[in-house]
Amino acid sequence: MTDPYKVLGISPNATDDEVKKAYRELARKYHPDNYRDSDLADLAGEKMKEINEAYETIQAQRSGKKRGKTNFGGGTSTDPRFADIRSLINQRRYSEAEMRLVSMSNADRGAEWNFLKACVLAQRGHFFDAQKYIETACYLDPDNGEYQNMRAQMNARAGGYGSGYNTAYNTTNCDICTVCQTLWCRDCCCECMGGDLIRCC
Amino acid sequence: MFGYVRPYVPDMRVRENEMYRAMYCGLCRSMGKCTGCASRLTLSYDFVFLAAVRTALEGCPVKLTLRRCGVHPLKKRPSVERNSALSYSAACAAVLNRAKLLDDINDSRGLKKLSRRLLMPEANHAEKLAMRFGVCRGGVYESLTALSELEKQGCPSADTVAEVFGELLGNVFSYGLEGASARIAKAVGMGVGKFIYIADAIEDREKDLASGNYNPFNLSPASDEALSSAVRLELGSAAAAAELIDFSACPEIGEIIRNILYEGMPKRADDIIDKCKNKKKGMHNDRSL
Repeated sequence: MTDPYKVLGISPNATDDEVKKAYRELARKYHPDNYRDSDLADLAGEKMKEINEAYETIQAQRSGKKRGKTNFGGGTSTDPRFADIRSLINQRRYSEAEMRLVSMSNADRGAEWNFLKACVLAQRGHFFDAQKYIETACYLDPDNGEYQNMRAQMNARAGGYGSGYNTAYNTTNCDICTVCQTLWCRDCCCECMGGDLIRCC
Repeated sequence: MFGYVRPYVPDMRVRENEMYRAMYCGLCRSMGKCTGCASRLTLSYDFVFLAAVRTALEGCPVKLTLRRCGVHPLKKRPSVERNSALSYSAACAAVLNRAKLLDDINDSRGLKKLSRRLLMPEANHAEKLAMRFGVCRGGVYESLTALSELEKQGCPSADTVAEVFGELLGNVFSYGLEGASARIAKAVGMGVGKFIYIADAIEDREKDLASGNYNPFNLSPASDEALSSAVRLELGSAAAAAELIDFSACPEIGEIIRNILYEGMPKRADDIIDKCKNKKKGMHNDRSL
């Protein structure tokens, strides 16, 4: 199946409002009323169906994510040592939790250890390190929904920043045009400073 | 009949404008390659639109390269490498330009007629070369015959006449395509063709009234508001069809097409209507003076 975000023409980091807005706009565009006199009505209908499906998929995905979102580290653990640490985190006693984590031997530092470490670090605002640990946790235990949720949420937070300028277009593709523009810009900058990057222009 | 299908550049993003210019440049090159060097002089914006639509529908690769050319010798410019859509558009340009030339020869007199006659051999040559790229030349001339037939009869309905021209462009846009693409292309061409005919008729209203040539709006006058909304309706159907094209391979092309259909062409129509209004006002003032 195609990426539902691509169908709506938005980035996966878009907020719920942006998703709704994109959906509404597309639905208006392909509304059967616009194709009433046209013999392309069936094609528009297919497109409309695609959009509806994409929107529903995203809605379903996001409502699932929200349920899992409530306080990280608050989940239950099968390991009694980690259960203690989780309860410390729940009580917002982060430094104690971290001390307990640090005191654990290397052999015990599995996926859950990395995850809890990431939780503690994220609470302190150490996002770089938190990201490192959550990646490790996800790597060690890729099937764990809790770890995946936290990683997704962190990525979304990072991507959401600066969304004021994010348009619905895909800004990451780097084609020859971008390369040319970049080169040209660099050349201009160099020339401003008296140097030259591309001698012919 | 040419020059109505243009983007509204102030509303374009820089990268869209750059892509548009690269397509324009690529089309010019393709014309040189496909239909002879002289045909490059007939380059017009309209066929860039055709090239953009065909590129998206055929899923042609859009590869940009930096190139230098005689008109712009100082700086290399990005240009879209020739693909089947550009070749096709270049070939269509040759066929339609020759048809236009023939029409001019029939309509004009004196020096103008002579000058157009002198261009005919070159146009014939370009068209002959264009035939290698699979253009529906027969369909074009068939539609044009039907058109001149209606004009001779003095058909009072602008819609009927415009539809014949729409049919012509619909065939040009969809020729060689299949399935959904062909239907979409046909609908886009139809809307754009009707728009072009109507816009051209509005612009030539005064001139045709003076010379006594056929013009549907002289036979059955329409208010400026009616004209403006009619033109927008035609464009609306073209735009609705164009929205069904899958632009995911090259979103810039999608934005170019949207800009042309939603901004460029309606603005052009408004300009024409305003121009005619002002002219009329000017004439009125002359008389009162």
